[in-house]
Amino acid sequence: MTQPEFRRAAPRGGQEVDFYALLGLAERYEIDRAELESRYLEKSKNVHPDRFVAAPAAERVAALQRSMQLNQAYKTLKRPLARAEYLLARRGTSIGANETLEPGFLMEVLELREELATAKQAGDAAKLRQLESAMRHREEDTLGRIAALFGTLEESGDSSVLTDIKREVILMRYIERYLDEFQDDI
Amino acid sequence: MSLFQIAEPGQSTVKEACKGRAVGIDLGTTNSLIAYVKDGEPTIIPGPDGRELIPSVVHYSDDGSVTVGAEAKNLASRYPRDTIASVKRFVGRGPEDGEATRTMTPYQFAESDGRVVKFAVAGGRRAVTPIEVSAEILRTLKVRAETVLRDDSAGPEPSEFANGVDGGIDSTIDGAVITVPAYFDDAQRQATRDAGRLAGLQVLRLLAEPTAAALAYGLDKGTKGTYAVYDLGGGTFDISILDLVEGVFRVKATGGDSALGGDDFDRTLAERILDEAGYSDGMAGPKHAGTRPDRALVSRALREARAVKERLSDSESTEYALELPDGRRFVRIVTRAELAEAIRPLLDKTGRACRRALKDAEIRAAELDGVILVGGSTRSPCVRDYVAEVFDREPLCDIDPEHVVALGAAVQAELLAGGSSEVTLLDVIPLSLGIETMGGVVEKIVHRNSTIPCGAMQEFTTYADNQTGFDIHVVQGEREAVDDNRSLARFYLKGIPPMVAGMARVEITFLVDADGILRVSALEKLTGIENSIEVKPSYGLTDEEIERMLMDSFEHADDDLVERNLRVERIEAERILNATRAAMKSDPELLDDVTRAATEKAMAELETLAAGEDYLVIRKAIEALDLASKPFAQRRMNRAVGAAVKGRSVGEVEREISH
Repeated sequence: MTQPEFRRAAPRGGQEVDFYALLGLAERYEIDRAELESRYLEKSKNVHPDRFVAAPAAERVAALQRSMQLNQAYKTLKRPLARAEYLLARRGTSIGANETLEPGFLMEVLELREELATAKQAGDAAKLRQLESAMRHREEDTLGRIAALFGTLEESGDSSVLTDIKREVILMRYIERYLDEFQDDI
Repeated sequence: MSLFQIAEPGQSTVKEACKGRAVGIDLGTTNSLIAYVKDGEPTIIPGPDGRELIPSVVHYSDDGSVTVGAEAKNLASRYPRDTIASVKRFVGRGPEDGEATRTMTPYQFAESDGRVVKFAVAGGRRAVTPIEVSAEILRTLKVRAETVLRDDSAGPEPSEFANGVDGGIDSTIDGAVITVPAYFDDAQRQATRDAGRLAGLQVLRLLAEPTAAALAYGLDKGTKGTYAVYDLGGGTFDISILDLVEGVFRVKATGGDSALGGDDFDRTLAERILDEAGYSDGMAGPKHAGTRPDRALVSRALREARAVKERLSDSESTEYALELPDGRRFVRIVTRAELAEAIRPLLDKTGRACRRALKDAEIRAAELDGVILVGGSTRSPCVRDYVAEVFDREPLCDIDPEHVVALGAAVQAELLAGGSSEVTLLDVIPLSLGIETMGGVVEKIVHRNSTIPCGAMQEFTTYADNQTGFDIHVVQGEREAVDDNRSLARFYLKGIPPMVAGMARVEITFLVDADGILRVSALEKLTGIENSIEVKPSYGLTDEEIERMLMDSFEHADDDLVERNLRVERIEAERILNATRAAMKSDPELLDDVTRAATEKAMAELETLAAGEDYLVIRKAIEALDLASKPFAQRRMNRAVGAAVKGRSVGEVEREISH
């Protein structure tokens, strides 16, 4: 058996479809969820493959492509982390799969993971809730910093901020992955 | 924006011709129905006996004849092996699937090549696949609809198109929407679509059953808000969370179990009774050691269990009576409370799926605007009480839970055939799709509950020097280990030039269309070598097998396939020519000179060739016209989406889907 080795493709900015333009939104980090929602639904209505069932193949293909792009655009812009990564990629700052954290935080993450594993094994619901809520606070703080940094970037055009945003985005990835661990207990 | 809304003066448009000729089919585990939109109202088409539900039962007798429906159901106890009920449980499944080998099925399985289950029927003389059995049911429904629609169109204004081009195709039905459980995986969806094809139906769309139900409710009541649809049929369970706003029905999350339903309630009850009566050998978890029941006894026990279950919907207790092979009669009282207790573990499985779906949809039960009940099994008070408990509210059941899916499918069929923009459905893929990587670990590429159509690209690389190929194993499911998921397809990607490990960059594209069906393609990016891969489903039939079955099938035995193909291609040619003309007329400013010249040339050629006798030549000319008009179609779509979209188009995807 020669299974492939997995390598996460870096999000490809630039040459990809412009999600903001596609949805008719200004390219900013802060986004009006209701507006995103209504633009997405309105545009999806117009190009959904269901409306082209009887159309010639060329139109069916075009409709399918556009619908896929709309779905992708909506999915990307809806979530703060995905949106931040997308905006960074569009400015030429890509984030690989194995980016490392600052050593201090890395140790902390490892410790938190261990605590989580112990609590899961012991079925300690109170501890699990406490760990989750602590990380939720952290998520909120980090997203707040990301929003502020993007604000600075968009206002001043100072691209040196990109490095700071990148650091926070990498941190956010760890936070989300940690929070995923709380998904399976239903 | 559909082409067909533009009518050429003095020309019958396809839209008109489609009116009322598209049908919706609920192909259920226990019963099936067909419906169409009559004068704006979705309507179930009854059979000659006046009954709306047709039992999903097919009997193959020794003399080669095939019986479908109530008549077949009556033959089940006498010929348990030759009478296939609940075939939906086997659709898209392989012989080694747990489902196929479980106890308490009266069927005899035939030898098969390992990809599809085959039933040995007609006294063991014939082996049929679940696709063929399903096609028999669909064919019976099709005949039902044709009779009614032919009468309809024989009215004062006969459709020109129906009698038009070369006498038309040999059917009065233009297309069908067939419903599938939302939780059906790729193989099960493919198999359902194949069954439609085998029955001679043009399958416009596979539609998720809960979505169909919501559609029937939404149009009927002008509903708005977020709803849960709890759909428990004979053999499948689905839960979907949908939100309905301004003409868009969006599925937020879906979940379920494609092998859990009312049949399991019957089985649980029957197993309990058989165990008490001293017949338990070979069954899961018997309390007493006993003799193995024969197939006829199992069949009788299941039938009585079902009758008992149904009687318990109206009364608190009833009698279970079973004739045993030794002539004894086993009788005992079953109460509703006992049934509720017996099926509780099964209901709890549905409860877990409900909670997961709510979580995926990021909504709490209290925030829902309502819970809709679908499926015959939700008639049971045990089930209703349970649903009320899970969602903490009384569920809605204004529309007959056994009709609602077919009615919704008819609405969708009408919308599709007419290219209407009244309502748009945004559905999701129920299970994640992934690829096996080193160490038997799944790397998910498309996540569950992604809105379809969707696509995703992922890069892979080689792990050994000079490695020239990969085994690509596509799986569907949520588990991390490959073996815990459903295997969809395996193929070998070859032709990678020898290079150092980790150098090759192979981009694999997954594309899930609006039917929820997957296509895969791969591209080696350094060299630009593309392997166009035909994904052979691990479970299912190849195109050749389907073609052969079509030829062999009873209905088409004396049909000249070449003649039929020629008629089909001519109609297609006519349709595309009309559509293209209309589009050119409506949006001339989107046509540049080069595209216009190429399109006109391709049109002229198609017109000439369509008069010829070779359907393959006509098909080629149609493809040529499609290719020529592609830039134009793209621009029309850009305008439809209403944005100046920069950047390149998704070329990889396009190559794959326009095959």
